[in-house]
Amino acid sequence: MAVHELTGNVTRPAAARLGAGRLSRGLRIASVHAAAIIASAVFAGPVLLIVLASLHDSVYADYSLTVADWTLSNYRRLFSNEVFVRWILNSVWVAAAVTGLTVAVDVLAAYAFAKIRFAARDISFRVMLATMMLPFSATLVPVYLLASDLGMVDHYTGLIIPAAAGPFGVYLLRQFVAGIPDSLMEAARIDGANHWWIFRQVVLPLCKQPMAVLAIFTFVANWNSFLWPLLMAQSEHMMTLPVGIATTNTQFTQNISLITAGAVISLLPMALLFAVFQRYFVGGVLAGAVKS
Amino acid sequence: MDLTSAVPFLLGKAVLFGAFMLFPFVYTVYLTFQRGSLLSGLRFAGLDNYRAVAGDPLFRQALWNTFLFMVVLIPLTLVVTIALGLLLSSSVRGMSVYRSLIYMPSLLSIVVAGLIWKMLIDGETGPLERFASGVLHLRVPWLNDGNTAIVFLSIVTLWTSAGFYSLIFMSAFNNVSDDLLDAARVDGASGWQILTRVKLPLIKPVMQVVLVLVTINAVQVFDLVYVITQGGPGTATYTAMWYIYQNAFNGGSVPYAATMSMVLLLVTAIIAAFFIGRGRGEGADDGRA
Repeated sequence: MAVHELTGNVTRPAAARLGAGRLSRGLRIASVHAAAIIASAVFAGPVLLIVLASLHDSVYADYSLTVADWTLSNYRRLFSNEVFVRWILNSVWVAAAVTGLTVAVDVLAAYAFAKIRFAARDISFRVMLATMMLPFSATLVPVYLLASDLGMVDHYTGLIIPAAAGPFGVYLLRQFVAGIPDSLMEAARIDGANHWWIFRQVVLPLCKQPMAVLAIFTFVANWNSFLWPLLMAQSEHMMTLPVGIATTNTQFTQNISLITAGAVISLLPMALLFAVFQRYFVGGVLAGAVKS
Repeated sequence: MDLTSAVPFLLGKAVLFGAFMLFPFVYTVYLTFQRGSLLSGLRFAGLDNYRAVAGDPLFRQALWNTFLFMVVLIPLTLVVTIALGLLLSSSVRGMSVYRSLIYMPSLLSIVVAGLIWKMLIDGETGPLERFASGVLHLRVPWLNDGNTAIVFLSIVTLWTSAGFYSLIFMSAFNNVSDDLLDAARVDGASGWQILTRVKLPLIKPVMQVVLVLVTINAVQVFDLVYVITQGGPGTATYTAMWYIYQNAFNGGSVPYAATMSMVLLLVTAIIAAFFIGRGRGEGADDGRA
């Protein structure tokens, strides 16, 4: 994964030699900073405004910067609200369970598609790949009907199991497993090892990084997922955070600063994940797009 | 052939994928040729659903609105994220801080992003509205006018997705070989020429991927409509996905909703094929190896 190349250098000696000297170089760097600061303000600015608004206890949005007025009362009120805490726990549990299920079944399938020869392997893999381009709308109605036939509506099973059906993880991991040289496995096979042994002893240890990429990708996507949980969660106590915030909007609208606090709480875990695992986010972006 | 040893590895994914992806898709196709409801029983309807969908003015409007949304969003996304990718790929100190700030909205759920932007244009306290009316002396109709509302939806969508696509372009620019750039400089190419003649042609495959991703996401715009406009004013921001949702889950006909989603899929496929085909054609014209 080209993570280390991301900070690749532009300060090439050739540029310095051919450029018009130190002054124009300084000017160039200054203009890059200026552009980057403007872009950062446009993208991060609204988020910071929301953080600001969440620190005020007022019916209307209040963006004043006076630190003395700031209060955590919105947060205190949300965390003392049983339903809201339930939404957070639901979001954590659903995102974590979808992630666990996805990574588990996908790494197994990836191994089969990459290292076991079986009938119709290539064609079934290609069919799977093709569905990556399928908009959710094309399967939405029957998935819902099936889930309701199976009694999954308003249960965690409905929120979790159908969300782990997508092909992306198999595609991502298969590419990686296929890159593991057969010679590593041949030796083990000659010694009589079966696929399970090879999978556990050779492939799994080598797959830690792409599995982490997939895990983070899946977790973030499901933490923020809206339409499917909206359909599955019929009662208030089964809602995830985005569904809760969006649908019971009216209940909160008497106090907009309460909504902003909810928004900040839903962002915080993602921001933390991003701060710690930034290279995996970038890795997922690369794997998801550039190679396909 | 080793199917028996493959089965335990494949079983989990095969069940999930088969039950919640493959079977539902086939069933969607089947539903489009049926009439009635699941409770009262389905009967074969031939092409009636397709005929009804083709003659449905509200569906045509929803498709048109979706199309307008894409016409605004796709060029905007491409220009903004290529520019940002270029910016982020330059190595000045502190770029990783800028990168995190620009990526921040991509970490938000679309629901939250929608609420944030609704607050920004709030008539009483919204900073954007106060800037527009107070500083620029503009009376922006925001969500009260269909066209403005669609542009607004595109801009919020851009805001939530630009960080992601910018990172893709950033890594694409970083992967352009230094030797090639140095060679161009030695040949006396200006910075602009290097960008348009060397860098952009080289990242064309990445552009194609991004175009297809943006298209697939744009065609099923739903979350933002739900939080920001609820399809209004009137039906002015009904998008295809919103109308399908209304039909399938708010007391419409399930076969009818299925038919609309098939039509939507066909439209998406045509647009995606157009982008992929066009990219290939132009790539051949460049005469690159």
